[in-house]
Amino acid sequence: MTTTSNGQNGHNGLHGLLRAADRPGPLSGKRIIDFTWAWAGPYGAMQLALLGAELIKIESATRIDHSRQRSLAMGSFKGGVNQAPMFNEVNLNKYSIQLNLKMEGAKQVIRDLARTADGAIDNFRPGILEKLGLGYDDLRQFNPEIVMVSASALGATGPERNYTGYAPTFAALSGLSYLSGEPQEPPVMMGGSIDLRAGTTAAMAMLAGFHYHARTGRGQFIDASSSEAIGMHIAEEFLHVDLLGSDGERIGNGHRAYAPHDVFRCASMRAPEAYTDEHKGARSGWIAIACRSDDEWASLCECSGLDHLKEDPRFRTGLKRWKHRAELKPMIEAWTSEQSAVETAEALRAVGVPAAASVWGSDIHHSENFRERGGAIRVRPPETHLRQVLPPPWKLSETPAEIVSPAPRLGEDTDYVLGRMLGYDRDTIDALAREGALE
Amino acid sequence: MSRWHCVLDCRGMSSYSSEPLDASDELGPPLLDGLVVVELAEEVAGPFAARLLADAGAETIKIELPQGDASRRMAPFAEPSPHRETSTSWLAYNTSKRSVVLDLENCSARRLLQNLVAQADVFVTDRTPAQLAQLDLSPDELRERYPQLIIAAVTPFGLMGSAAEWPSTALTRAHASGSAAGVRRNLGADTGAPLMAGAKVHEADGGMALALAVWSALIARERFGHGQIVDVASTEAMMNMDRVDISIAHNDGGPPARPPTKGGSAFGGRLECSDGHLIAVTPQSHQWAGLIKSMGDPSWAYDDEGNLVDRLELGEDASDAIEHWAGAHTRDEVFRALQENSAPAGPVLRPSEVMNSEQMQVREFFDRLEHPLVESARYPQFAARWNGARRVQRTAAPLFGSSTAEITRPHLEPWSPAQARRAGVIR
Repeated sequence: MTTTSNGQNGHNGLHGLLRAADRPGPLSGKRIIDFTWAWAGPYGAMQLALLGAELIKIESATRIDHSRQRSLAMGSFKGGVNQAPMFNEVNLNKYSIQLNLKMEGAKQVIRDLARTADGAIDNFRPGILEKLGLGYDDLRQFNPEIVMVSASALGATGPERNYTGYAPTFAALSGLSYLSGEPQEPPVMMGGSIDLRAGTTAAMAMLAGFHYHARTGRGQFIDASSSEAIGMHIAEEFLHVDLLGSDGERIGNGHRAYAPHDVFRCASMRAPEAYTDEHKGARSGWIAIACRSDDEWASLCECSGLDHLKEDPRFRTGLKRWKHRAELKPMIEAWTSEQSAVETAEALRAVGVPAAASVWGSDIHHSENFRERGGAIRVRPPETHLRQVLPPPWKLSETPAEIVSPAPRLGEDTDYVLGRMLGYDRDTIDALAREGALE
Repeated sequence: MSRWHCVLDCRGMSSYSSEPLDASDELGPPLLDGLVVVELAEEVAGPFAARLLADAGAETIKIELPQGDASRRMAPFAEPSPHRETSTSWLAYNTSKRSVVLDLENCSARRLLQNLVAQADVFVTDRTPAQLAQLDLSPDELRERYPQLIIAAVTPFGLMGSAAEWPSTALTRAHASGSAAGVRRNLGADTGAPLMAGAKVHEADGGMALALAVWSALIARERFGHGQIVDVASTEAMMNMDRVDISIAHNDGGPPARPPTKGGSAFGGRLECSDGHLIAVTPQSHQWAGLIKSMGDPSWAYDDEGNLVDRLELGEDASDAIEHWAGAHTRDEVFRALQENSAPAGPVLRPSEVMNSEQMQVREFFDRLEHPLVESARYPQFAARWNGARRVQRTAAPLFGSSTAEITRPHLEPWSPAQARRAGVIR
């Protein structure tokens, strides 16, 4: 158990203070029971927390959220359960309470939370919460207006409803993996970004439910499928099947009509003077360039000093450039490979050619536009170092989304939730702890 | 009483009644019944966001310029091809909308658009700040003029900042956001150029983020009684999808060491079956045990005392054996065997296979829509089912300008639509 004896810690105080002192978020004052784990569900729930809702994450030492311990990309995480960076990124702004849901006392806590909650979200296999007596039909006995999103790998109905999955399998089952990669190479395995897309879909489903509740007073159950979530991102590929009679194909960085339309290797990410001792960005660089018209092509030729290509009959029209794009690529790359990506992209954009350095990690944080728009948010998870995290993906002028606290330590808020939110007295909390309900 | 209940009282565009919704029906009205959205956006992100609102029941008026949404000119086309009504991209992101064509070079047309926006609940746009100013649609001014309006912009780099007017395309946005680097890094740190994911998934991220933010703003309006400006940079929406790995790269000293297995992650990855590829990932020990069980419990997976060895300790030999096993079976055989043993897996399906899968059919993820010019086709739904609200009967994308006369007529008086057309206000 990691509860504190006095029910107070900095995490909770910060929450209340910042919300009270600042403008409310769209969901301020809303309480949501968060049963999710791994990446997709927690990111879905986190977005609601960024929008101001009070997210109470149900955790247990008997079943630790595996994003506290490992990730598909990294393997096992060597630090402690309160130090995992992947956990922090998808659980910001949340409270954590430890409950062993197999124990009756813990179930009673959930029922009491349901009475005061506006929503609940889970990403269990369909039927798991029902077996615990905590499914939608159970919770609505205590709160008929509750909105509950259940986001599973393939949805709560159908022959594959009990199948499990992670981000890469959602992408495989939706058609996206098949369409991703270079034409002559196998389809690529997609990673964690797929989970965050599924989480975004689940969060939107919850918001639609809350909005509906505000208008009608109705609660409801929402059955979300993570594989369908990725399918809805690629709608036109399904029309391709029915209307053209075939599947689309992988085109990598290419385009069906434009050329050049690709990424090209550069000598470096930035010009040499940008690399100071503190510089944490990439040393190697890539630039993305797209020409959609003869004008953009002419500007590219002039800017790069490849003027002679303008007159080359192979490249005179859009269609010809597209047909000869394989010959074009090394010619452009011969130029870019002696340039820095950031500065070259800037020069191309200045003459109207769409171009961008292909950035990652610290180079995103260093970009001028990123900083002008508010830059990174600093959070300090209590057991690890200061972190700079990306701000929420939306700016709302009157009810802003905000990051106000790092992800909670395991069970950090157990006393706060039971004592302050639910009004349990000390003896009741101690009794729950003794019977193992708070493990 | 919210503004919801009194909008568009006299224009005949809204079917929403002024009575409070009846909570006693088993299924309530569609999610956004009675809401009015005006869209000035093209290609994917903005139209996709507006489509999500339209498919949820919002009356959605799409403003097109005389040349039409650029996606009408994007290949591939269904028969008849090429034709401004038959681009798959156009058809995919514009269901359940109405099309109004205005020549916004004309100041009367701009005034007409202003009237439409004044009566809307949400104005969805993808125009940059400079373009909006030219059209007399600056977000700050709209905010002041129409305090109830939600001004929802999805632009490449946001409404503020020095990049707001940068030229860009889907390719350069995916790379400027880190999203393309994310796809490549997931395949291993040093395996080549950053890579866009397939279809138009990165662009769709911007649309999803905007629709989500609009729903948030609608909730805020119900609660606090005012509209607001929603500023979504599509590149920021994309980079948020990789926020975990971007954070690790920035804060934890670079990328994690690549794991020992082939074809993907530490805990599995892509396998080649006899009829195509399959993804299997087993991060939890019971899932790894399930994979080994599916293979018939090979001895190499156990130590001398008969305990299952952790996947991370077995390294490439295990990968080779799993690949060999998978190669002797079809995707479906491997998929079912793994799932029966609680090992997460999914065949790499072609879109046509997704559409024909029993799971998707039973769940009615696709519905068939009729269109006057192209064949009927299956369109994906939203990936969630709300059990309390009626689903909307969606309609296929509108024909170019098919609602121009009907929707503009009340705003043209004393002109008739024919006169306005001759004057170049509408098309």
